[in-house]
Order: sequence, then C-alpha cells, then structure tokens
Amino acid sequence: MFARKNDRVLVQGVTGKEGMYWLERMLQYGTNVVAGVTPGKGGDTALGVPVYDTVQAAVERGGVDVSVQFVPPLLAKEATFEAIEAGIKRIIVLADGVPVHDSMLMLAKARHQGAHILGPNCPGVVVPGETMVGILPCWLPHVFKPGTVGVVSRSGSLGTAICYQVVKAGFGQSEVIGIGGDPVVGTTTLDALRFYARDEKTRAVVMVGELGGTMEEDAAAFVPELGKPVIALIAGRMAPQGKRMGHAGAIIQGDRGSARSKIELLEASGAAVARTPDEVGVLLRRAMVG
Amino acid sequence: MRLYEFQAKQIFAANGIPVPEGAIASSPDEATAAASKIGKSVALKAQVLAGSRGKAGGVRFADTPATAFDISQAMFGTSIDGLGVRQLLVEEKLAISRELYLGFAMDRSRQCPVAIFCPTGGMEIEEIARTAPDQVVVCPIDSSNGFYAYHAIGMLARGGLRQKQLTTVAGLAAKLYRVYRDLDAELVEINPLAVCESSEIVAADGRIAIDDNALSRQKDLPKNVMPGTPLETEAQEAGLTYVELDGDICVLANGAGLTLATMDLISACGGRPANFIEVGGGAYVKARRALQIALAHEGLKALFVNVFGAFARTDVIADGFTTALAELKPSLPIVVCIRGTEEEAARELVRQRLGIISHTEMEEAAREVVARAYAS
Repeated sequence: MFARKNDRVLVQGVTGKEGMYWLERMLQYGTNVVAGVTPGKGGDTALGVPVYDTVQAAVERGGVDVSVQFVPPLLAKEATFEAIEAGIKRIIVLADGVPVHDSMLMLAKARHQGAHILGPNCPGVVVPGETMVGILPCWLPHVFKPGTVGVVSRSGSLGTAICYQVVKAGFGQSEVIGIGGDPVVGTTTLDALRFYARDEKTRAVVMVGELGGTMEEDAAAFVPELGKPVIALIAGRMAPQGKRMGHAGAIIQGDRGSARSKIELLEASGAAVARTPDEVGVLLRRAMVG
Repeated sequence: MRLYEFQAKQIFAANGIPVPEGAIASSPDEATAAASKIGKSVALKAQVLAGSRGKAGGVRFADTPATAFDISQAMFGTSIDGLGVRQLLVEEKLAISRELYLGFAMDRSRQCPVAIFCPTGGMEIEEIARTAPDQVVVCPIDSSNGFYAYHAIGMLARGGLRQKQLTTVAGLAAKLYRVYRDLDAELVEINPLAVCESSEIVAADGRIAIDDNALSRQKDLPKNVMPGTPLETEAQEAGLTYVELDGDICVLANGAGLTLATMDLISACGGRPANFIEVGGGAYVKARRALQIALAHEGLKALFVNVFGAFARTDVIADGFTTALAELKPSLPIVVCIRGTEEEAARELVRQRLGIISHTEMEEAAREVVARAYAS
C-alpha cells in the first residue's frame, strides 16, 4: 500500500543524524532510495544517494513514488506541503509532536491533491524481505519475516511486539503498516483493512489498537466485508478514561472511544479479540490452521 | 493544556467576542472590591479546571458587595472535584433569556475541525446530544479553506436561528474559529452563549484547551499546571508522562501502546498496576527522574520494566534505567523484560548493574512480577 519493492523513495531531511542512521538501514534492507533532500546540501551525496536542495529538484531528476521525512515536528507541515506540491502521492510523516492543526491542514491539502499521508507520529511501513520505509527494525529476523499476515498498528513499540508474536506463532507478515498514534492521522485502521481486503498476499489481518478515538469502531464495521480473519488487540482495558475534551468530545464521540466499546464492536463484527500479546499468536494459529 | 475560564474570556474579549464585565479575585476583599466596581448583582465563579463546576456549587450569586464578601469567603478553600478553589471570577450577573451552545473541536473520525452548534445550551448539553441528537448541528471544516461567517450562517440557520440573532452569532462564530485556529486549540467552547434580555449576546462561560504539541510556538499563553496528584504534578513539570492508579505494581515501559498493553497484561495475570511512567521519545535520558517519581508512590510491591525496542534502542533505554536503579536501590522485587534492537547488549547491562536475568517473553515476565509482588 505505502511501499512496494521497486518504489522510488525520497528521504526528506536526509543528512541529519536520524536521517543518516535510517538511510543506512533502508539501503541495507534493499529499499530503493533514489534521492535525499536537505536545503543547502544540494549536490552532496549521502551514502551514495544524491542530495538536492528541494523536493521539486529531486522529483525532476527522475521521479519519486514515496517520500519519508526526518524533520522536526514543527517543520512537518512545510515538508509535507513541499512534497505534495512537487506531485508526490505517498508521504510518510514520522515526526512525533506535530501540532494537530498542522496535521489537519496537511490532510486537507493532501485530499485536494490526491496524495496519501501515513502518520504523523508513525514508524512507517515494512514489506518483509522487500522494503522498509521508515524507522522499523526490519533486520530483526524474529520480528519481521515474509508471510501472509497483514499487520496494522497505532503504536510503534506494541506493533513491533505483536509482529514478534506473529513470527513466534509460525507466521510472517505480508506487510506491516504503522499508522501512528496521533489523534488525527492520514491513514486509518479502516484504510489499512480496505487495502488488506484487496491484497492477494494477505490471508489474515492483525489489528493493534488502543483506547481513544473511534478508528477501531469505524474499522469494526468493515470486518464482515473484509472476508479474511481479523485478530485484534486493544490496549488500555485497565487504563483510566483519558481526559475529556469538554462537552464537544462527548457530543462528537458519544460513548465510543473506550477499550470496551472497541472490543464489543469488534467481537460483534466477527473479529477475534486477544486479551494479551501472546494470545494474538494463539488466535492467529486458530484462524489460519484451524 | 486547559485554560481557566477567566483566561479564556480575556482571549475572547481581545478577539471581539463580548464577555460579561468582571474581575478575578484571590481573597474576599478583592471579591468585594470587584463587586463594588461592577455595581450590581454579581456571579462568583470558582476558577478550577473541572468539568461540572456549576453542578458542584462552584457558581453562586451575590446582590451586594457585602454578601459577595460572605459568599466568597465561604467559597475560598472549598474544593471541586478535589481541586482547591483559590481564585474566583466576579462578574456582572446576566439576565439571560436564552442559552445557546457554540464550539469548535477536532473530529478524529473525519480528520478535520468541526463547528458545533446547539440552540439549547447550558449544563444539560450532553444529555441533549444523547437524547435529541437532531438538535445538535455539526459542521465539518476544511482547514485549508477556513471557516467564515457564511459557513456559520448555514450552520446556525439549520439550528433554527433567524434574523439579527443569526447574523450576530455567525459573526461571533467566525471570530471564535480564528481563536481556535490561531491558538492551536484542541477545543474552544462557549456554553452557554447567553442571549440576554437586552438582546445582547455574551459568552457567559468559556473553555479553551491548547494542543500540548503546539505550546512551544504559543509563547504568549499562560503556563497552567494541569490537575493531578502531587507526584503527577512533579512529573508534569519534568516533562514526563506519569499516571497514578490504585494498585501496587509500578510499570515502566517504552511507548504509549506498550505501556497500556503492559498494564492490561499485569491485570490479566491477577496483578494491580500502581502507576506507569512512559519512557518513549527522548525520555529515557530522564530515567533517573522518572524512576525517582514513580518509586516514591506509596505501597509499591514490585517494579516491572518492559521494553520492546522498535526504533528506540533497548541498550540506550537499559543504560538509563539500570544507572538510575543502581543508584536509587529500591527494596522491591524487580522484573525486567527486554526485546528488540540491541537486546543482547541491553540484557548484559541489566545483568552487570542489577544482577538480574532479563526475561524475553513479556507474559512470562508479567506472571513472575505478580507472583513476587504478592508472595509475602
């Protein structure tokens, strides 16, 4: 969905410390990184990858399918605008701490231009054995392995922990999509389920959610249509209810948003809901092997 | 970060949204002086960051400055939802003929801001939203376009406003949207927006919550400390995510999702989480401070450290918490579970500095911490 083996990848903010660290990891994994952008560093190379001053220059040089950003949160909006205006259609925003008004603006602009955003505050995407765009430890063989289970997670650390459970249970992943933990994100759990419904390689889906927002409730309605087994883990069963956002929160969200509301709707829709990370593996085996 | 009503109203007034005449008071004398200056009946409103202030007796009325003294004296030192009343907003008492609701918030499902209007505002607004949702008009906003008076006219007309009221409230709504946008607010809410007998329209209450991610660029705002336990407040001031619960096992994990899942796991194993501290992002360099706060919690029976390094390196995290624990030397059973990037190096640090063999399976580790917590 967000990345395929031969996709041409651009790294925005490539020459920073984080950018260089993950550029090396991506190149080692075989990700087709074709260019980097750092204003003022145009003409340099980073680990053999040409660096440009602007996204436009990088795009003109040979085309870009996906952009991934290593920029501070307050600059993510500008970096995303720049990528959208240069015509890039898939943009991965990793930054943690992007103001929500910036996110909403980025998403509005992306909608108008037909671009798709993954994140903000997301770890990116892995197609095990093929490509990794983002900041996921794709090189750990007991966590990421080629296979047929599609994973979608709001949390980076918990999502990775669940990928380990998938491998421990004897399976691998068709794709791992980290959608990000912010209240407003460009790609939702439902978007990921829709993708996995069409993706022939994917035979089952593992959904890692948590309390807050209504993404899991929205996704639950699609589970019957998906036509593939869904195993869900919803973190936050024991957590106190989060801060209430005035009356407006109650008006918009009603009684939805708690872990219980999500679990009830997912179970009613036919998804198998695990109580613990280990149980994800057990339920997955039951769904795949019977 | 939430703002107090008086702060919200100062912002409203500065942006052309009418508010009642009023002043903030920190003592009965100041309340009396404010009431004298206003020169008519006043409302005395407790300034606390709690939701149901009106229902909890946090708003009272006084007809004369002398009664304002007595009533304010009775209000100072009381508490609402556990929050002490230290300041009162003294305001002219409005003669209200009708209460409206007007707000802006983000709709997480639609991924955009929404304007919300209800022709019946006041304390029962949530009940109305539940029982008569047709009365509430919710209007999605395209951030890249904005929200102007003509959008507001459409929304408010659907909500039943007509003529002068329609155009006046629409003008206020457009101004309120600019406050919402320019202050990086997650929420701005006027409830009630009062239509007075004089037909003036005034923000009788005000609520604003600012997006914490934007505080660094909202330099003119006051720095409010959000309500919490003393340790939660300490953690907030240190920039740490720390929450207290009513159990007895202390949880330290990296990332919000894993932290929540770790607490669920402890509960599923029969334990009770006491508190949790999140060490995501750059926070593991603050491990010492984090653990100092978390371990100060009374009645702890065990500490559970659960780390799964995705992009965060487990050896960096382990360096932080092992150094802190070697120094703090808590007399508690400690169980550690480590998986992910650089896990071998991390486990070695834990073995050397704490003499503990780390688990690699979190469920096994959770069972052990629960067993050891309640062993004696």
